[in-house]
Amino acid sequence: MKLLKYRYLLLAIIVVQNVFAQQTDKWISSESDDNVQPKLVDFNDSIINAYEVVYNPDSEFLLRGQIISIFHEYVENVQIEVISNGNKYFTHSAGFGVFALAIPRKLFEGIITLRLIHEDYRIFDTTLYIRNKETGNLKLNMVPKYKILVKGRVFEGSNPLEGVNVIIRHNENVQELKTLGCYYDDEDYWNCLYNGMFKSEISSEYATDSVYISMNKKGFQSRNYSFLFSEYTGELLLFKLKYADSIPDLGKNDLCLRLSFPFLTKDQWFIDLSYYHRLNIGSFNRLSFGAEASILLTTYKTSHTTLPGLPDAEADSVYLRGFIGPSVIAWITKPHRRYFSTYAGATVGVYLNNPEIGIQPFIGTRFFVDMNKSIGLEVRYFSNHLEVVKYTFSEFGDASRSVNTIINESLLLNLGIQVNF
Amino acid sequence: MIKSILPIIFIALFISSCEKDEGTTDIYNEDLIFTRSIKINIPSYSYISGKGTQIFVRGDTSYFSPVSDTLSVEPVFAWDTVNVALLHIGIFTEEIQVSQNRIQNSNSMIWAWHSGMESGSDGYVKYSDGISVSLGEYQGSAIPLIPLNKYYWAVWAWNPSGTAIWFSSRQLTFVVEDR
Repeated sequence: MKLLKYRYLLLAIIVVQNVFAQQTDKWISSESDDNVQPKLVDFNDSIINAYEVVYNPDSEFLLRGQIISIFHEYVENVQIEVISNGNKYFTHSAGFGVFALAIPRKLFEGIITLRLIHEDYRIFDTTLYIRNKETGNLKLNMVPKYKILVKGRVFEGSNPLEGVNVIIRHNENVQELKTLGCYYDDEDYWNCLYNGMFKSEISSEYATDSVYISMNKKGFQSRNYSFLFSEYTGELLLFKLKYADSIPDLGKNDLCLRLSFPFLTKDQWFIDLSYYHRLNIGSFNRLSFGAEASILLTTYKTSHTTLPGLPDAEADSVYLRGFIGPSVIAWITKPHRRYFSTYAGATVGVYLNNPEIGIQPFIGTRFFVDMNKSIGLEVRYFSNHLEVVKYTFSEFGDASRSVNTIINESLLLNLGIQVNF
Repeated sequence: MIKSILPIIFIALFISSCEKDEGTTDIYNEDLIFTRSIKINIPSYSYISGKGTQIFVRGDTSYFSPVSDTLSVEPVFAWDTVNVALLHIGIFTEEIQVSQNRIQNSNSMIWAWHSGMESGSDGYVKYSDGISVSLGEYQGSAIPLIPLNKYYWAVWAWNPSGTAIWFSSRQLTFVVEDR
């Protein structure tokens, strides 16, 4: 009986060793990586034998062995599935890659199926024919997968962009990430080192597998990118997201500051502050009402004769006029357009010194530079009365002054910044 | 936010609603013919008259002297250069009277030179460089002064636009020498 028992054990060991010897030869011949420096570890019976599991030899047989990668590294935490007589048994490899599993046996011989699963290694499947209650020490080699750490940074223009949804897709595996923002670090500094960055470790069995990265954020055009495992060399991937053509959450209020310079005008400076509230009447949202206050600085030149034999002299008169009143804007294009959101409007108000009522019609367009700030370009028509001083030169002292009232008409091109809230 | 901005806008608008008042200045020089102007210095100098004699002019130092300088019938006038485009010098038969920054007795001016004339330059003018004046109007070439008569002279200059006097000298006197 004892001889019979040992004969079966011997046969089982021979069968298992043959099976894995073939497997190992095949892997080594098909996979080689010169860049990996192998650790000098190898199968060690004494380590395997030191891993003891309590079992009943009369009703169970012991499946025991060691798992080492083809690069001679112990593989721990491998999920081991064993199917015997239609039942599944599970265990994990422990330190030094050793494992042992006591499996109930009804027959002294039979087929068991063994599957090794580890996220960093290829799945290993094999079948054993067991003739005895002990299998001897199994010595199994696993082939690592390709593993890469994908790192990227997403920008809007030159600014890192946080909160971007990043989806990394590889075969059936999908990871959803968000780009990081700034944060207070352990030393209580506002740390923006990783602003706009993401990273993820992914692995694949084949170097020709593709990785797809999709990026999207509200208000931006989505961006896609793909590469092969073998193409990625570990560099930081840089992506730029472009703004979408429309503002996703356009506020109803606009605060504008406009300035005009003596550009294409006759020495006139203009500063204007205005506030508008956009009305929503059903689906109609193209009318804004508000108020406007502005200051117009006009430099008016007059010329007059002086001493005989000398050219005429010019005298400047500077006029500052405040203007305030209600204003209305009609949006010619949709107001939430990012570029060339065009409008026309008018302000009816009072010129504060030498009071008179005036109207300033205007037409303009704006370009959003981010989600709520825009730059506007506007042409405005002015018509107001100016009391221009005319000088008459005298050889005997100060020139005499006479005041003429003129109508000052002009078109002013002004540049503005606008905050939408 | 709007509530806090609106008062600032109103204040700015009211402050802005003022026209710039030109011509006012804090300068005050009582000795000058135009008291609200910068002084044109008249240094001591000498020149050779038509008769070949050397004439000494005390300049500003004679202003406080009861005795006037004695000059030739065609004197020479000198002052520190002002470097302005509009400059004028005049000889009057009576004391120059200025009110509201303008010479009131312009009819008493008998000779003038200004920076629009071809001869003479800022800082040094001969009598023959100027022209005679009658009733405040420029006439032809200069008529020699009358011997033993007392005259008053001064220099003044305008700002670049010619609207206000910015520089002037003291009013100096001289008596024309006998023939």
